[in-house]
Amino acid sequence: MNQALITTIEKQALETLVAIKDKETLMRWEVQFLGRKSELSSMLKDVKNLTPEQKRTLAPKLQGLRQKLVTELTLKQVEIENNARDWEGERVDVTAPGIARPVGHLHPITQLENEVLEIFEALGFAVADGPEVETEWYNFDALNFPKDHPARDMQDTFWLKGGGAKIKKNGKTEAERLLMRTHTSPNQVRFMEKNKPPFRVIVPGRVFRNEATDASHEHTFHQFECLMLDETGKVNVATFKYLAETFFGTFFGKKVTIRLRPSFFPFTEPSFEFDISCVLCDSAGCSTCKQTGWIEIGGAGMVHQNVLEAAGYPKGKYQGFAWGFGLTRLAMMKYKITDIRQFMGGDLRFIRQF
Amino acid sequence: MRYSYNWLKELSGTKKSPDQIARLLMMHAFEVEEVLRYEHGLQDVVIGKVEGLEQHPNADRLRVAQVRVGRGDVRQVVCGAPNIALGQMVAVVLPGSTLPGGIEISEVKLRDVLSSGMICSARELGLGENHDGILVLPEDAPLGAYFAKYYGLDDTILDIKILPDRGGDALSHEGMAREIAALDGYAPRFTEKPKKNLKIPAYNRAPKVVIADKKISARYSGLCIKGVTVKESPLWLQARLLVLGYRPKNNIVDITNYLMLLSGQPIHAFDADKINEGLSIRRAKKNEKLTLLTDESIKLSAEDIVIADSKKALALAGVMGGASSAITEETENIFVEIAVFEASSIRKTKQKHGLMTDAAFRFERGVDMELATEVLPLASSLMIELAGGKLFGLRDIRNAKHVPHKVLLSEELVLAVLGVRVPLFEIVRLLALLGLKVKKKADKAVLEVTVPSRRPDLIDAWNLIEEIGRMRGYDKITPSAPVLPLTLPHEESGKKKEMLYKTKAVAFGFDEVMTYSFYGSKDIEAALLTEGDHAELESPLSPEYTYLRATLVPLLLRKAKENLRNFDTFTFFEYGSTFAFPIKGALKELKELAFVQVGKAKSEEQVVLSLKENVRAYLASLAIGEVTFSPLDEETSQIVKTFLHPTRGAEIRVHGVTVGYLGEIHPRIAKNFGLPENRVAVASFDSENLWHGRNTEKEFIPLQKFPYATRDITLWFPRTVMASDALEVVRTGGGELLKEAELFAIYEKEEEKSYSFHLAFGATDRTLTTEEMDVSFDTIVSLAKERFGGYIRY
Repeated sequence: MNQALITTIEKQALETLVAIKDKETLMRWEVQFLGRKSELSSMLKDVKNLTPEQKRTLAPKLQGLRQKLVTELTLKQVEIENNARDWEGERVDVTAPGIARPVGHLHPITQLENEVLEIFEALGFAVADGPEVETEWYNFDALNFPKDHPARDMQDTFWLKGGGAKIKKNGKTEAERLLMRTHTSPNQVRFMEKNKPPFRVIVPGRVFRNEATDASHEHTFHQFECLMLDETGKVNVATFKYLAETFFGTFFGKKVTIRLRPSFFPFTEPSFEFDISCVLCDSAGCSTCKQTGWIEIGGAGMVHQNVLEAAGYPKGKYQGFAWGFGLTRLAMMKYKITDIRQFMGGDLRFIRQF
Repeated sequence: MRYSYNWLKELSGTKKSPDQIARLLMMHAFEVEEVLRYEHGLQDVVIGKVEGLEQHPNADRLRVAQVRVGRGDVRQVVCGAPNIALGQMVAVVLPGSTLPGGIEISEVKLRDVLSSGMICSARELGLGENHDGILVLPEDAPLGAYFAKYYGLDDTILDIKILPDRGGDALSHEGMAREIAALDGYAPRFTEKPKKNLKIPAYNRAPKVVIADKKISARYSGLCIKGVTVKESPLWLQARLLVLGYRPKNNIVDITNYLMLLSGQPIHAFDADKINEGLSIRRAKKNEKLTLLTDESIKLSAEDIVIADSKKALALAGVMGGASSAITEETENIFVEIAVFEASSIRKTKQKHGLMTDAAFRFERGVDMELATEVLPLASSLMIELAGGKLFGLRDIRNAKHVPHKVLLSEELVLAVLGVRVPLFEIVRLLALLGLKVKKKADKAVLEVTVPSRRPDLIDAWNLIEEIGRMRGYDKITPSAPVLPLTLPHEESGKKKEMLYKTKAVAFGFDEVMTYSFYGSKDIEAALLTEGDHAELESPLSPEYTYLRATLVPLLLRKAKENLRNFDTFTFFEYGSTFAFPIKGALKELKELAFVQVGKAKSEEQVVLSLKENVRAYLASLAIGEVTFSPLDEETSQIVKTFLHPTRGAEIRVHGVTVGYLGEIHPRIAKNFGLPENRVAVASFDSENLWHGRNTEKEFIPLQKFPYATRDITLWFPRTVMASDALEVVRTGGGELLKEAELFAIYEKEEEKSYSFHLAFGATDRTLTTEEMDVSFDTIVSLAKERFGGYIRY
């Protein structure tokens, strides 16, 4: 037994293996080179008879060769198996369309509403909702809209025909005229009646205005109401600015500055229009912000003490802010939708883009 | 309202440009909607003097004038106006320009005489209708000056949105100028105005005024001026009105408009000779008639307030004058009314008759009853100055007393509301700028603020805090995070359900649509519903949106039809409010969840079964258990029978409670909505009932240790036996040992029908013997025979 012999066996085995194309020949090869009666096996058996010097040099070589041949054998087996199948015949064209399975799409308004809800919920806000058909009391009177006052013209109203709902007010039952809610604000009072401050809540929903539709006006659209109330002094204008900046900063994923301008809503005092720094051009001026660097986004204010009184709270004890903004408008801005009527149009070519 | 920049500047003393004023107002007071130059089109018109005038050599009716338009600049102009005279100051347009009417002026020869320019008539300048001759300017008009500039037509308009709270003071140039002066940091001449008193002749010849109901007019005053001449207003007054979009009419009417734009006080002038005896301010009689200034005749009711004489109603108080007492060219004696009427009555009248006048707009917002005191002397002097005549009488009736309103304001509340500490001295300064009187109370941190009558919107401390906040600027408030207790949100909301319903539906391939909450008679008719079951809008935008939807289905079917233009198969859903009358007269708002599936044309698949599987899987994903689908029967509600194909629909029950329905739409409905037959299925749920069917209590059942033994069975039945019957037989017959039964094939042959099931038998504690399984199997077979005459075919 010597080195030369090992090399010869290796060379012979590998050379024979290369030529093998079928399973049977490979089995014979295995018997010939790795089988119990093979030269290599007998040499391995003979190792114990070698001198310590030879053992040290030859034994690892023999083991190595065996290992190598076993590995080559496995590779050859795989190769032969692979060659045995008609892979081309089995081909599936993966560039062809898959088996159809419809994918549903949430309406863009719903998607946006979800995003907004998530942020507010992370900030500890409750989510409430309320009826779309409202009483005159909740939509106007309780919100400090005087009767027969031009403030009511600020919101063109769809009134319902006929009598109205009987509701309890100051212990008396009165018939209230019904209307399609013109804003989500009626839920301020509805929520206050059922809960005690401190609380913070948002109310998303569908609202209605009796105005003719065109590309930028809809009689039906979606809004958000946000109300936060605590004892006087704890929630103030500075709190509102903080909250609005936090919300929009999270929503747009970048720093947003809030600008408050004086305004008037019967149910808040002070009242603001609020603008956010334009997130599209970083206030450099673009078509969305009409070159002003600011986007008008909604109204807000500190809840009017008369509204708190209408909800049954003592005047002056509590204070907080309410703000509302249009989800539909936000969606138009975010997705660059130029015709507001698309939202209620039900065209699946529109829905499936979101 | 449109404001003239020139006028505001004159009144407020501001030095700011229109854009600067706009910015200032935007951030501190009002929304400025537009700032734009007034387009008068008279850039090339200058003031000239007729220095020479000769007869045209070749035309009898023309004359040749030498007009000086500047130092050393005399132009020869051919003119045909009969009223031209030597020494007149005139408006001359020079060659190379165009007049507002589109007349192009160039140097031309008129019958061989060169004419370089034109002397203009009032109409040619866009100043009224007069075209009888050239416009003759006053002698002191500055030679060579630009005509437009001199007459104040070179102006910028600020269109400012005045919200209802400030209608009382800001709908006037004086009010706006006061605001600008305050924001500029000084309010010089607004704080105290010298009071001019009217000199009344000893004998008061103004008509006697009787006010029937003190509530309808807080103050009624008027002037009687005799011997006026009704004519065109002077140019400066016409120009002021033109710039603000008012058409000059005559001096009397123009003054009333001018004073309203200046002060905010609506004024009405009557022809005093048309007033029969005294005036009475009263509610109109039922069906009383009045012909308005516009010659429109209206029928009145007790809601309206009228100014009447002894015979009839003369004017609709606070809204519009009447034709019979209007100022005409013949008018000699006038009665000028300066009054305040009850706001809500004016509003009702205005809305009922659709009369959107400037006067009504101001009265419904509330006019300061103290304003008349300032306006009376102004009106008197201006009328006499521009129309001549003499003051012959005055009436001034007060039915209410203005009590100075006092508000207490603490420094602490300012901090509490704004979230920023405003030093007391600054509070005092800001309020004083607005013309409020501020007094420190003994307790130094509390102020007593007296509000002038023109600001009825300042009622309580919060109103004052708003004034402080805006005057100071909200940008000076630094955002600050609140300190809040850790609390859980308050109540479970319907929104959570909505979100779950929607997100799960999308997971099953449904697209979400939103449709209007309203539909019209056409939709109701097509869906075979009745109008009487619907709530109705009082004044819908169009007939398409008259009724509140009682169900989502009709509009969803419309959308299905529309989408068929672009897709041949699709599924979608809507979740939304519907409005029904479960009890007579009481409208109930429900949340409906409705699905539509449109199947491919010429498909082997029954669309209803496809939707059923979608819905079943959807309900399972919502953890709604024990769902059964049962064929429509006599018990089925009318609306479901109307919508669904009679033998291809099902009522859906959860734990035996009906939660909705599903089925192919009725061929009649398909036809009405223009939809194909056999291809459209709908499903609809009452979302509240459905929610109650949720089973959220879950308990783990140990996994089966012993293998199930499986066997298939095919049972034949008469045709009428339904799948649910067969399944029931298999379940009951199989008893406890039957763990699973899956219906995998249905065949129909002549009058028979077969159902094939994969059955799995097992027990939790042992492997079943063949004998045990046979007993269950045989029980199934015998039960099938016993109940429905079924049999097994091997």
